Amino acid sequence: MSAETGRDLELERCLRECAQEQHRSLQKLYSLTSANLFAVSLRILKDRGQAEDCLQNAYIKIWKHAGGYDVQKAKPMTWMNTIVRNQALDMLRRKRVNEVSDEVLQYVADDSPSHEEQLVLSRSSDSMHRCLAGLPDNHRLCIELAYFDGLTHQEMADQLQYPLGSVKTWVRRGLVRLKECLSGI
Amino acid sequence: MSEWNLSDPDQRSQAAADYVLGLLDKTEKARFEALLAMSHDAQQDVQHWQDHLDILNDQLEPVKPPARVWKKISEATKPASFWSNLRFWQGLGASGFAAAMVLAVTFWITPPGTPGAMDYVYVVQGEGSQTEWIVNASLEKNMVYVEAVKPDELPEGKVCELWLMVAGREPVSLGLLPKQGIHRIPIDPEWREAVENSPLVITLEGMQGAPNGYDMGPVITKGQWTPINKHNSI
Repeated sequence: MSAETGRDLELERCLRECAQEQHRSLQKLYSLTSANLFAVSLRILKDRGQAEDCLQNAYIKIWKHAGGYDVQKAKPMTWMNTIVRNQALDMLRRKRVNEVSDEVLQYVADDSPSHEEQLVLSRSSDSMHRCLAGLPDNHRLCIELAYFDGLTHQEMADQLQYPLGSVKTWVRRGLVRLKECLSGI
Repeated sequence: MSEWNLSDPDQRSQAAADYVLGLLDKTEKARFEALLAMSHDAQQDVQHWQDHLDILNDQLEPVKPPARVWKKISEATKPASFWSNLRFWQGLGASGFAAAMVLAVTFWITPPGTPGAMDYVYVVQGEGSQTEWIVNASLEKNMVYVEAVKPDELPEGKVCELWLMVAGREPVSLGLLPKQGIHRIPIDPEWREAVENSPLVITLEGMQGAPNGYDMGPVITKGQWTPINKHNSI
């Protein structure tokens, strides 16, 4: 059994027990996943206070809806990441932060986990990361602007000062290349 | 986006990716979600793209949140004692209980009671892009299903009527739109081609509906079917 599979099984068990209102399992789930989910929240909201509120709301949703998690339909981290992302994008839309910045790290330098913790928390293989790194810069940037910043095609075109058609093509081609690469792993 | 052909696997996969990325506009999103409610293929496409794009989350460097976050989560989720539970339910009453029971997480849960494989879908949206009805056509079962989702309030004594606008002929009534539940309308097999190729119109009528297709009331909205299953042919 790979480390990734073992971790997924542990997270699935925690979610099953959360559905049975075993509060200790929520604490375990939090200790295993909060650093990853906080990173997603920070990446989208770019504000530490808002990211903490988002994380708090997301775990309350996870607790309340753990019974709706279907292991056949999604990996546990994908399910939880989606909850955090939806929550963060909702908050972002309500209080739109216009500047798109890649300076998130300035918020996070103080109490990031140890190298060992990060190794345990990271589940993706090098080959998956190579798929992402292999995308042309503009393809990857557009996909990230949609995924993390909630921008529409038009908003991306305005921000990047490129024609709308180019932006649509980059997103589409980027997705095709990503799918082809990930399917080959 | 009338050129959308969601029965084509490549276009459906692209739509699923755009859905996950949040790139669909309100109308496209409503159409795709209607498809998602009943198409296993579309559900799988979305799941695959959620999984593929999760790599974007994966690449982020983990950040340990401060201890105060867990403290707040713990306070909000810790099961209450027996006595506080009892007071909560006494205070809530029957209507509050019912409201609490309808709370459900929406994604990845297929709505119960959805008819089986459908061929076409039309989503009726009210003001504010809220879905009011979902209309499905099953050519295999020769049946049109109209499901009330959240219809807007209508003036007293008024109802909505659904019409199939067959080219060169009197519009065909598919009946009054239900205020709740699912309304089933059998289709004569000879109308199957018309069902596939005709746009739909919704009119505002008196309680009995329009007397015929030439004397219908004011048109509230109109739209096109979105094909779902590519394997069914007429």
